[in-house]
Amino acid sequence: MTGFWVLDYLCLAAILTAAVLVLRLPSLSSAVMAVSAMGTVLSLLFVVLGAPDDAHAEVVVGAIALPALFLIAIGKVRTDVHDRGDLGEREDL
Amino acid sequence: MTDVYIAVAIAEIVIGGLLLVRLARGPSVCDRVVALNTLSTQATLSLLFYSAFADRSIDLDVAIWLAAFSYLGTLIWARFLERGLL
Repeated sequence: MTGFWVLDYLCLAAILTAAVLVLRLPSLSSAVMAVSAMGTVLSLLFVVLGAPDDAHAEVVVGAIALPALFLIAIGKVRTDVHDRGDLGEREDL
Repeated sequence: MTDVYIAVAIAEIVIGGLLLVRLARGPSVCDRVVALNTLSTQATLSLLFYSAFADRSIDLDVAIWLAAFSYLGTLIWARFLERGLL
């Protein structure tokens, strides 16, 4: 049974790492990728804690649909904003 | 035998942590996309081995969804990086 707790805490650590990456990564698309990674590991945590129906919703919404919506929003903003510094991004990424 | 299953599931999550490091440090955006896709694959494998450990076959549905939609997510990323807009 200790393996269950090890898997539980490892999932929690991965979710926290991905959440910190969302805040710390300098480019917008990389932060969106970290959001997608967080959704993927969160769905795994839902399964480990015994809620596979929540994991279904989290896979579709948290790992795919939410990053796709963010990508659409970033793409539409980039067509209007030509200086990428206005988006809070570094130029070299 | 169930110890082997949970050990493999834990090992896949450890590999996922290494992939998060690559997602953080990747010099180009291609490294990050590949790291994200591989992270989805590792999560699927970990989920399969965990459902074998816990003997709950209903968790296999989530693994199927994750495998199918991680492919779709990588496709969305490729289209975004090619055109800049979906």
